[in-house]
Amino acid sequence: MIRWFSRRDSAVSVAAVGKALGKETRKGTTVPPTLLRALRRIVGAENLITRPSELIVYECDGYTLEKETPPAVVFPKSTEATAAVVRACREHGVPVLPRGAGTGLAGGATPLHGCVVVSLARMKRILEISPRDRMVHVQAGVLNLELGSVLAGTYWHFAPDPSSQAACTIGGNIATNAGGPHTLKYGVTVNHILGMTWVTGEGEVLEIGPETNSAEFDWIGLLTGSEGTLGIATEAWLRLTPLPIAHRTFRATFDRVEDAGNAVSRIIAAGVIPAAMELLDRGILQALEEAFHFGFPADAEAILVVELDGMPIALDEQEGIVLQLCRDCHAKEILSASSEAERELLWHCRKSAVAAVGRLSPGYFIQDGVVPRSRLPELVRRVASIGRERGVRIVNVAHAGDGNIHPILLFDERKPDEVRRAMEAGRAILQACIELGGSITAEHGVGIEKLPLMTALFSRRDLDAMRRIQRVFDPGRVMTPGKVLPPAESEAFQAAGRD
Amino acid sequence: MDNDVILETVSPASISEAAEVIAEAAQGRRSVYARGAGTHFEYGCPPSRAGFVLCTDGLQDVADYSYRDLTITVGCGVSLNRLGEILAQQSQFLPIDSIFGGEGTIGGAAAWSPPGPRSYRWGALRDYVLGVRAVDGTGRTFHAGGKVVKNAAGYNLTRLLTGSWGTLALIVEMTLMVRPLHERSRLLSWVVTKRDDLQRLLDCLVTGRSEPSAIEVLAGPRWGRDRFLRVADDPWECRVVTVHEGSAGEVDAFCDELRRELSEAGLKMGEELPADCYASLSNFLADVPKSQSVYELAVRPSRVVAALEQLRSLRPHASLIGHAGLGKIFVFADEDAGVTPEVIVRLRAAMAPLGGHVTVLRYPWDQAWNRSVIWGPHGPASRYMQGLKDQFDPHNILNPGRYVFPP
Repeated sequence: MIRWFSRRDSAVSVAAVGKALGKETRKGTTVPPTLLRALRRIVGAENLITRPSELIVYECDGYTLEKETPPAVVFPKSTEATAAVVRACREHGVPVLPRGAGTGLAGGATPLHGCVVVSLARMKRILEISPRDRMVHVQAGVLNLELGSVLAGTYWHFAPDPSSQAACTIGGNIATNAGGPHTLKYGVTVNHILGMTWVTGEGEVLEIGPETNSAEFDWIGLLTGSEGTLGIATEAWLRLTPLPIAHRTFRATFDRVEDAGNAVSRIIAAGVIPAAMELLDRGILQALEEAFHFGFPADAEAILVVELDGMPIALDEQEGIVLQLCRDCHAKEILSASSEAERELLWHCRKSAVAAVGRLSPGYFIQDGVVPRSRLPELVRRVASIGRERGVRIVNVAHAGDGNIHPILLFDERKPDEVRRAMEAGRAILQACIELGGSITAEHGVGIEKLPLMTALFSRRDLDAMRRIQRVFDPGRVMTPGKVLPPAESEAFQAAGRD
Repeated sequence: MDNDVILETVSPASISEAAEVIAEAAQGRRSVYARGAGTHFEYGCPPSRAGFVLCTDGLQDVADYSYRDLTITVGCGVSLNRLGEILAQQSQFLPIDSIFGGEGTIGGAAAWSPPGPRSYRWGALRDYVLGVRAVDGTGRTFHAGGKVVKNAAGYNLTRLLTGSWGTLALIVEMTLMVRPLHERSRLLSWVVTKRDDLQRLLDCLVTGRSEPSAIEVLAGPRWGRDRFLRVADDPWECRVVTVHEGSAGEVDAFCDELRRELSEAGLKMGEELPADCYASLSNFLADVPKSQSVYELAVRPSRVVAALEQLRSLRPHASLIGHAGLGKIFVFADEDAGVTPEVIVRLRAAMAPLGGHVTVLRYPWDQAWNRSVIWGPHGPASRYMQGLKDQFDPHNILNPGRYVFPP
């Protein structure tokens, strides 16, 4: 989810794209002086930004096609200050947008409608580490990877590992219910949250867990992944997971992407749940080879990176099954990582895949779709077909074991027609995901980018059920407007003849 | 069940019929008490308003079983036993415990079920619910989630509804993620008679790398009837049981790792129990007589022993099962003097310094207990719970009186 390319360079080029699409950066509205005074009182002048030159950084996240300059950014350092900021904004009728590191790819952290941005970046204390409870208590601004550093040398880790983990925050992970390669075995963020401190849209503080009981709803399940529209996580109790005793990591090379997709489906159907199962196609492999000289075969159409973890004896059993199934699906070469260093390099390559795309094209757009795992080969075919039909070059990385594909659509931002076709192709891919029984996002969230497709995925009644939740947690509609839920009066349903 | 309150039983044969029934009930302001197999119908508080029982036994369709995707879509009336049989044909299973017995329905478990021993490794049912079709308190049917294992589109209503005691909507159909069935289970057991020994053993089990599926603490006379799990009725005697699941070689390797860790800590390896003993742990509330109260304690896992100490000092003969890795203790068969509201209040006061909670899950319905004694004091979240209740069931017709909401 990180923007791996230079922010300054990309800001120039992608702004041009936005202009081509008629989506130029909008100047944010101003906020009442009384609100600014209140915010300054709450967080202190040193934790408030209002200068336009400084606000530019906050005009979007990793989805750069829409931008708006916020009127102010505040950096609360405590839950109480965060709640007070929300209350002050609410009293002034000014909307609020929480922000972590801004690494999201769907526009979830892009300010709209004159939002005051509430950055959790200065709430980065690790409050308690308790291996005996298998918990760590952190503030929301702690970086995902920082937890790994702090826990280095112990048996423990925080399992969610989004590709942006070097930069993304725990609060951002909670807001988007972030995933990553190893969610195949270990689950997504919500599976690893035991408690939270939550500021609602009314500025009220809820302490949730870490001890839960039968007299409460599953607040963690409901609020995780709500993309800042139901409130703000300021602290969290995270589950510590034991580090696996051993790994087996290998890569299988295929002549056809569909064969790799079939191998994924058959491995899962055979009852083996690897820790991770990642697919990279020829386009990505070329870019990675240029960047890292890893030694990927130049003629491979796709590789599967499969990681098994657990007890060595179990890995022997599983490896035999996985290798045989890869061979059955016409893998022409299977190589194991011969050392921990080689394994780490392989994962470094995988997690840098999006960064390497910059070598293929100055402009690109990362999509996030998901289908039932057995439909993955069909989705791969349809993505290729969509690219051909629209004249758009598409390269793919996928958390294949989850059926979660990230097609990367390449374009030249100087050519508006190319940009338009790429965006249309992105939507066509998500439409294909829906038709194949899947969803429009597995881990990036809806944000702005996927908002128009919510009416294709859900019925009016389904969305109405979600709106009822929003009414409870944010009756004043101050939290993160313009995201996740399309306006109730959307006519898309009528156009589609659906209820 | 008080026949003065419940008037009749309705068994819709389809999801659309169920929706019609609820819609008509909403129009007539009649209450609806959903019922699966009735295995835990006596939990919570009694129905507070006249209405009818909606039996889900007509909602047993298996709409889809995509075994290659490890997903299955079933009606809420499917029993856990039947679900297990269907999945076992493809060497798969749903890794939740049938706390009240296998005849219980998946809908009943989704409405509410306490965590089972296996939750330590496998998580709760809500972790396996990928999507639901549900009918709210106005009779409107809606979907939430989907059929994919990762889904970040919109709010996660599946998790909100699962465990909400059927008070927001009736879940009529669910898509579940299932897992490959493990090849082997091993159970290990220790009898412990001293507090410090229990603390050391649990410390070792929870912080080790042997990854048991369950770490259970059993105590009290209820277990005396069980040949393998029996515990003396002594305030400090308890039995610790671990469950290890996986392939044959993997399970043995984990047990070898556990033996090594215990040895390093100066502790002995547990004794092997027959694998079929697990049924008694998994169904731990199945044969608790309906006359007996059941309550739960929730603390951080590191405070389980301290919580047990408080509990045993107040209720020395209570029977219990503690999921030590989760910090949950379920107390039942507390029969020597009967559990009174005063006992719960004292227990809650004793748990407060530990940051613990006490919730009454079942009590004698012929006694009028204060709701705050049963569910605990209202916190700030109560307002949000009520807000959601008002949104999804504006006429308060779904299970009125049964859960935390005012009757």
